[in-house]
Amino acid sequence: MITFNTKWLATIIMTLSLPLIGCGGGGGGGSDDSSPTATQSTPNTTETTTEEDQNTGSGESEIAPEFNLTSIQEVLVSIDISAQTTDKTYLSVCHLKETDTNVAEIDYENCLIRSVVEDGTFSGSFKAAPHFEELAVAIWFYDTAQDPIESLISRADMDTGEVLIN
Amino acid sequence: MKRTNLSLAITSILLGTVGSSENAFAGAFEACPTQAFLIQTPSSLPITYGVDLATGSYTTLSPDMGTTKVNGVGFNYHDNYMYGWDYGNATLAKIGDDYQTQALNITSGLIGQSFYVGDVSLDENKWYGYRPKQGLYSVDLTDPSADLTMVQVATSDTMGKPKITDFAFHPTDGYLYAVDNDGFLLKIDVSDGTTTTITEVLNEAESGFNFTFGAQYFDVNGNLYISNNGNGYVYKVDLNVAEPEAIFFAYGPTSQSNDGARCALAPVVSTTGLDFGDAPESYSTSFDASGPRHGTSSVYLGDEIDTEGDAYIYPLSDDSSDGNDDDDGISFVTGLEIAETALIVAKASVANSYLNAWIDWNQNGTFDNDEQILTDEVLSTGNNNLSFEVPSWATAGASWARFRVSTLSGIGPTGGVSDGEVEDYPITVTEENVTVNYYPSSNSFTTVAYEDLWPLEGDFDMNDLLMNLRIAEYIKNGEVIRVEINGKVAAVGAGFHNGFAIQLPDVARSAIKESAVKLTMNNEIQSGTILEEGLTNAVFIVTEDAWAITNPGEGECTFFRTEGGCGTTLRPNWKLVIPMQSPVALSEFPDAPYDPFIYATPGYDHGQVVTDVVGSQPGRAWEVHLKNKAPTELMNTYLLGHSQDESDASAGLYYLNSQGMPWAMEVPEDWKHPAEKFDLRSAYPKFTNFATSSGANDTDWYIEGNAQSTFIFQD
Repeated sequence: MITFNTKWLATIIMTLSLPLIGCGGGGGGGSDDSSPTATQSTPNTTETTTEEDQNTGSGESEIAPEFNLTSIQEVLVSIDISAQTTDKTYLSVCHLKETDTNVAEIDYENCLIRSVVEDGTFSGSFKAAPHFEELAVAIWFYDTAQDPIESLISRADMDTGEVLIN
Repeated sequence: MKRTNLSLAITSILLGTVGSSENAFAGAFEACPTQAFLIQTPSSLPITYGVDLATGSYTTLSPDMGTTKVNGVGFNYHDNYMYGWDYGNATLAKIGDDYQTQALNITSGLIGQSFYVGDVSLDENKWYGYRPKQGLYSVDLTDPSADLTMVQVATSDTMGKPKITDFAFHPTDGYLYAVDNDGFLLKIDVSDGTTTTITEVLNEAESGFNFTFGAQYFDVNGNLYISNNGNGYVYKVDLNVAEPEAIFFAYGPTSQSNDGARCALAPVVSTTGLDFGDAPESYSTSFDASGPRHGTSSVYLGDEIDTEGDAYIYPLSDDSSDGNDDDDGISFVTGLEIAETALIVAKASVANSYLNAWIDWNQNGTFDNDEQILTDEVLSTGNNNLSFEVPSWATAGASWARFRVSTLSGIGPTGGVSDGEVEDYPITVTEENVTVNYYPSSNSFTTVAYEDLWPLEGDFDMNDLLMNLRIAEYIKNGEVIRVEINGKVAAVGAGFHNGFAIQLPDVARSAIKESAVKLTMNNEIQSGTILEEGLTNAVFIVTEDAWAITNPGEGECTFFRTEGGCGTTLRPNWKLVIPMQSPVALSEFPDAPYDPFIYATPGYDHGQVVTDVVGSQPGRAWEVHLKNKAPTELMNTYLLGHSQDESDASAGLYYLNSQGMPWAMEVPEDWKHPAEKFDLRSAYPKFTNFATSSGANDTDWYIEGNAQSTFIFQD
């Protein structure tokens, strides 16, 4: 199996200077005026809040109403290895794992796509969370003597929203 | 031949003399040792081995016992010496902690004969020996240095001419027991030799090899261990059950001449330093179930091996709980598609080890004989590409695989081996030509987090309910044919009782194959309505009450995994399988994680405001969804826009306050959530910048490195 040198990307440090709107205390909102009561026995006490113990955030900033608070990147994956083979192969898009010897290997237990590739072509997609730094692609031939096709997907690749392997 | 015999005789005499002189000073063994003693005579000298019955592993304790052959050995609980028949001196011998025989002086009885069946009684301080065609005899050991008398207890005819090669005293009932060479369990009353056949515990024809159980031992719990000379297989027979049977236990040493001795009052325990599997117990995984276990050595799969005192059975696998996944030797580089070839890569630490493997193709919870996928594959050091066929009769869905590597060939899916490693893997079998999309991946979770005071604002610690989700979509010909959702309850910080459900927006209820929907909770199949009735969209009820499947931590804990000192790595887990009656085009299928939401548990109130608006015990009239996810048809829409809620259905806006803050959110990892009463924005200061920038900045605000560590919950 081909192994990759460790390529863990350095954390990108972003210096942020966006102004906070409406900074002020009390971000957690009002006190609990709705002390829950149960008509059956409850296994615990009521959750109560007070101004003192809320440890609220830095402010009540405006968040766009339509922003759903997720930033998952949909990434299209297009495979075309028909020039090499049109035999059935198998595609895995997975995370990497670091071995004891400090090399990164594909972690086939931690994948985003697993699929047969027929006629050398495949198209699909996966969802990349913001903390994904690097992923790997492997295409295995059903002939055990043949090495797989392997490739890396960088964060920058993910950010383009499309990965092409041919 | 004659020269050999002469040589042996001289050696015997010399060794016997030396042995006797040393034995005068030999000490007793430690009181009731746990190991078993195995005496074998592979050539011309009897060798004493110490056997760890847990793995079958053995070490040589003495290469030469000072005589030509020793058999019929028993451990004497009364003086902590062993006693057995000394063939060289044709008499009973005492054996101390130097493993040398000290011939005793028997003045009457079967003098000059030989015994290969013997043990020492726990009740009487007597050695009992059986000789075919002669019968059962005893020798009182109260004073071994005195002249001893051998007394006949019963003739062989009286006993029914049992075909036995060893027997052992039960730890408490005073009877001798033996498994004969036809596989039948016998019980012998030593007061008169009455021999009773209890039952057949092992069938020779079914086993495929001949029986000669030359070493038999008891443990303190009444388990009889029998070791077969021909192949060294050790079986365990539990005499406490009505119908005892011999369960394969370990791979031990083989020999033509075999005898065992052990203190019957000692337990057989799983020693530390063994490697176990972690598949569910139906696969015989624990020590009690004679699960697979390996003594540690340089022979293993992958880069790591760990050891434990007993198996950590799924879902409590130590691979996930201790952060050290030593099941790292097998890579499934292709899918497991029915009636297709599959490829794996097996990484071996050493060359010339043997790999055996099984997959539970029919999902019956056991590894059957016809489910062995690899048989004695000889591995090379490093990666080995291996292939096998998935049978046409395999069942699609989740199952388990077991891989065992050892220098011993021919091992099965259970039992102890002296070296190697076992690795158990959860696997998924699919139909042919299926694509599987995982979210967030096949080995990680996303988290949905809820505040439950809606429409009132809460404390924004986002931990009234946290659920981990992992989703797999099975796609064939561009259509979703099945969805599997694995979940874990990550935290419950709510005083209210909340149910948890998942809606598939725009997927019609009628598109679901309701009869095949399956929900398991902590691996128990759940009954009742899972696909909710009377709705247009498909809605699946996971639990009507998170508190029904969760408990607060012990002591002062009020909630589950939200307060300091109330941590646990144990999280209730569930799995929902959703087969489609009418496959839905992937392009029209909702995005994972779909629409997971909480609702008021029926029969419980949900606060005064909710009671005022929709009445007490609102049930499904009260729901909280992720921001801008529409409620189901069962939601009472009078609550939308009430109190601090700023929902505007006409604009597609739901479950947000005037600042745009949600009552529920998704975080795409197994999130380290805020501790009780710590606002999300304090625990994760970068959240505000992320949120106010509409996701342009600080997109990874949720990773642990961006948390105020004192504000987040720690187990």
